[in-house]
Amino acid sequence: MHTNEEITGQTYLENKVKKMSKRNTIIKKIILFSLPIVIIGFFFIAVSYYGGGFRDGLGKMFSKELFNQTYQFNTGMWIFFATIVGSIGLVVASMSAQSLTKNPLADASTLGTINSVVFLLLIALAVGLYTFVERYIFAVIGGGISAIFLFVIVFYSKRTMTKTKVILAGLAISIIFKTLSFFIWKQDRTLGSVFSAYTLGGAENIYAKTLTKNPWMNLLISSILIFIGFVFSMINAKGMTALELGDDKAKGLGINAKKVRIINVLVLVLTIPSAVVIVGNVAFIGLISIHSARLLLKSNNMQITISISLLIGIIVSLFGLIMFFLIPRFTSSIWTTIIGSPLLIYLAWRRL
Amino acid sequence: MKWKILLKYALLALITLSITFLILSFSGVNFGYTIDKIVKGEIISINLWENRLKIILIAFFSGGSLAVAGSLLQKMTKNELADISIIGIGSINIIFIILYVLIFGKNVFGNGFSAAFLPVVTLIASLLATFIIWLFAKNDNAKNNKFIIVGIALQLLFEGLSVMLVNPTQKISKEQSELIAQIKKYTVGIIDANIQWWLLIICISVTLILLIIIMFLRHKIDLIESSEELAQGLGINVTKMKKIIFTIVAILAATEAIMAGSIALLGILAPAIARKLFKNKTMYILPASFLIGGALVLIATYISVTLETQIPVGILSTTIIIPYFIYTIIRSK
Repeated sequence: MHTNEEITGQTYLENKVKKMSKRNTIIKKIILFSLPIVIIGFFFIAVSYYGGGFRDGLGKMFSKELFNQTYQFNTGMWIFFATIVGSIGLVVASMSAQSLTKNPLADASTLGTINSVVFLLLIALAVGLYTFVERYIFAVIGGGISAIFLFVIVFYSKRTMTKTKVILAGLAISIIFKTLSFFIWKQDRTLGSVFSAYTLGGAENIYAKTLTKNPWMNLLISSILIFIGFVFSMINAKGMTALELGDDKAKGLGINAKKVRIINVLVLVLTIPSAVVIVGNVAFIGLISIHSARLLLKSNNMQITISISLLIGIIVSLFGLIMFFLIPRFTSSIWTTIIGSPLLIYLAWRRL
Repeated sequence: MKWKILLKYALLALITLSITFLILSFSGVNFGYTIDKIVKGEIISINLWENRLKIILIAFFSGGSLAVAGSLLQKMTKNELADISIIGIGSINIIFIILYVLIFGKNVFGNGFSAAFLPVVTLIASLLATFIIWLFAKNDNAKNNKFIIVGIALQLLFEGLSVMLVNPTQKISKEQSELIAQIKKYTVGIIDANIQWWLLIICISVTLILLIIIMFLRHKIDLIESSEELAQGLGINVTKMKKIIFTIVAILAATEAIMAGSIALLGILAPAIARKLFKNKTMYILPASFLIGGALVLIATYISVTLETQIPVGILSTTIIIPYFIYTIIRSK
């Protein structure tokens, strides 16, 4: 027989769990409903910006000009969609990176992967390979190189790496690739604007300076690659969540840790290069979205948090785009840094 | 044992000197030729010589002061990963310099009042940043790794801001773009000879004076590093000493920022090598890290300036040694 206290304790717990799940569903619903509104809002602002005023933009949308695709409108739309796709890619990538390095602070920017991709892209341009196929091949090679670096650092260290050391190693890797990029840049002065566009980041800079031919084709390929990565990480989500408990417990739950890690590397190699090709160096976006989704839903289960963190990533990067429209001096990518670094400080201070 | 240490110092000094000669011997013209010309008094371009001399002095003293500042910070925070570039002091300096130049325009690089005010600006910036670090370090929080991660976050934020400030996306006037090209060197750490002689001499002499002061304080620093209670028991005012050391670090960072801009991770690497060579005693490690830091930046300067690859020294001088850094990260406790 249960004593009274135990029963009340149990019911109290049950109630709490119910409340939690209820709140989770409510938050999910709010975000899911608000997202289309937000996206449509951003869409119209973009239309009005590139159509020359809101009314004119609307008029262009419904008149023939939309179908003729005037240059400016086309640009605006490309930037808008590229920002969304790129942020999805970076969020998925940093989810895999965090699982791979067992480090909540891992991100495409903190691990130095972005710099290696930029380096390989610069090599491709310096050699004179301008077509998008060659560009993607080189970008993926760049992603692979830094994935190998990570692999060596994570798996060949004598003891398990502390969180700080992984970040420092990432910093070191990014410095190496920055130096190499500078070297190539100095050999070929025509690459100047390309280099600064990639290091500054933001879809608007990338469009203006690097994608002279076939921007939509680039966007399409990136979207396909990122979608594949996204599907992989959805499949992998259960395994990643289980691995957070530790390798032994994951084994007990029937999860093949090796397989999960290999899929993670695959996702990294697929998503980061294709995101960098269209949005360049956008820092912290993965960190912001994943951790704020976790804080919001109070859950570490990736199957639950993945959708919300993708949505938050999209919203934050679109916020950056809007701020760029309002204050052209600040590129859209800097806003994620401005939001992200205080969050990183908070996480480091409270949760490490 | 003493002669071993002396030998190591001699080796370091030899390396430094040889790189100095390498830089002085112009590319394409060997050293004996130039010496010959000096002896005969028929130097074609005095300017080139002067520039090279300036560059060598800047490289050696900026590297050295960064390494010493990093090593002092590590001793005070008891964290071997503390560094000016990682904690964000360096990039705050750079942002202040950039804003100052953007406000006052070309005059900053000239000889006038606004040029004379530049050291004051960087000093204020680095004092501000060091004060924040001191606040963290006061409660012994700095031992933790989160201290480093907070620093890295700040560093990334300031670096992003400074990169954005020197890469304007709008179209700008020609005058302004020239100005931006001139301040761009601070963000990546390009050494050039634009600096005025008087400013350079002030920076160098300040660095040397601070080094001498530190050498006088060496026993106290050692005591505080090993145990603050012990130091207190022996009659050292620990908080006062810490304030003095942090002020010294701030001044070193400010002079370095004026000379070369930001040099990443050097403050970790140079003391790490020095510790490997000389153990952790302040008397040996500080001059050693000064020499190693200076030598690293000199090597980078040789590759960048004399070999005309023009890679920014700020990242090149660490890239030379980064394989070792990654090795230590993988293999250390």
